[in-house]
Amino acid sequence: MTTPGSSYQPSTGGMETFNIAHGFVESLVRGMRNSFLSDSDYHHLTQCDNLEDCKMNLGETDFGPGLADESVLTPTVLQSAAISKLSTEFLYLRSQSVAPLSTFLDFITHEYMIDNIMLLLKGTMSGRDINDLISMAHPLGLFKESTMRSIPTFESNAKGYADLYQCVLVDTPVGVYFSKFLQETSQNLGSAGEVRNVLEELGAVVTQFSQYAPAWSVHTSGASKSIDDAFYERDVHQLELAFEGQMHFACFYAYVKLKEQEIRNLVWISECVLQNQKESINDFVPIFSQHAPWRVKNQRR
Amino acid sequence: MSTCTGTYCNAGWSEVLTSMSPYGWGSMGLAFGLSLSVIGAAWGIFLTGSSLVGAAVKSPRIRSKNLISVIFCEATAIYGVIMAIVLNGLMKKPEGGIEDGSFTDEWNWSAFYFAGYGVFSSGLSVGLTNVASGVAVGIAGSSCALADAQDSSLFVKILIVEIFASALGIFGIIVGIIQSNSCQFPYDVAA
Repeated sequence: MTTPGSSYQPSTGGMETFNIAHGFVESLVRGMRNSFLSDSDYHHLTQCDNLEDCKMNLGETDFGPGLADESVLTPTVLQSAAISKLSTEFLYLRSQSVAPLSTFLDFITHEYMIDNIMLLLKGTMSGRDINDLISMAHPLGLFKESTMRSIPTFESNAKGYADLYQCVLVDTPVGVYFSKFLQETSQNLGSAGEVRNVLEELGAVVTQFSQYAPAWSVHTSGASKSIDDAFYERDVHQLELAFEGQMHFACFYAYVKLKEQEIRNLVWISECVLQNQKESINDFVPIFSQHAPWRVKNQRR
Repeated sequence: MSTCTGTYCNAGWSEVLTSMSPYGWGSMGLAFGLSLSVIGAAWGIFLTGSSLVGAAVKSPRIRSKNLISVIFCEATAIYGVIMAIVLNGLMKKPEGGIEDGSFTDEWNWSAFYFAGYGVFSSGLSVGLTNVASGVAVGIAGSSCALADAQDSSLFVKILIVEIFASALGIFGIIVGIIQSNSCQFPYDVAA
């Protein structure tokens, strides 16, 4: 990773020079792209009657080795096994990369670091044990053990957060993002619900923008899909497009995000199997699916 | 502009160029032809090779099949070697026509200069086309490895693209050989 003070950024290179530094890592991530569950894998999973069947079906996929040691499969076990697999793959890519790709990959981890900090802060506010919280943290956004233990020790007020930033966060890669944020929003941490309420109000405005109109119409039509699903679907479409071109960095970001979606799919399916909710088991967004709406539309043309 | 009258002044470009030995031009042509071809080949090989080894991590089946892309790049260097041998055959050490270390008046100067410039230019023709060909084959080969790893039915289709990229270098060597055909350096007054 480049030091914050240095302004020198090596070029990513064009078609003729990209492969000098990044060709190997790029083809690695494209190899991993092969490991996404196929339409038939999803079909078999949705036919399962219990989680034991699910485990057997997953045994033939890339998830097989990670699940082999687990005696009992639960959605939580499945999720943590899948996340640790993603994290292993990502760290392998990171270890093979050089600047500026390595910096780009570090930026991808910043999101998880921020999530982990918020998890620790919110968790301690609701009185949870720090050891539990650390075990829940996303493996891609981990800090040093001592850093993570010191985050919840500050008081939950404006001064406490300022101290937290000065003493701990300023030394982490994500410190810059917190310098203003923590002081301003000391009272209302994590307002994802509010964002959603604002979205509801702005629905009429959203339809004015052609790229978001389809997602909103899904919401208003009152179909089984929620607006979250509609946006996930749009995400998957956009992220799949990143693999259409060669010699750029977008496919690294797209890979991580599509794997996240796949993990959401697996958790959804396993929850539905566990609770025997067969009617909603198909409400997930498959990745590189031949039946995706945008592919079906293109085939018809 | 003042007229230069000193001993070491030259009378313009015609004197500069005629003062340079045609053997020098010919040898430079050979050197450029070979070195640019090798640069093109090496460029193509690292473009293809880095993608090939990366893609072979997850799908090892592609590794032998896609060596053909590397061979296509290597062919570019071989064109340069062939051309260098052909051009070298045209250049001979003079056996006559030299007295006291300099050429006599009977020496065939026009053939001498014709050969020098011809060999230089044909070396450049081959070298520059081979750089373009090598890079083109390399980029196509890199995409070929990635595509084959995803879907093996794409291999043959992209291979055809590679063959066309490789044909660019053949154009260069054909023209280079025709160009150099009549460029025999004189090696004696009678020749």
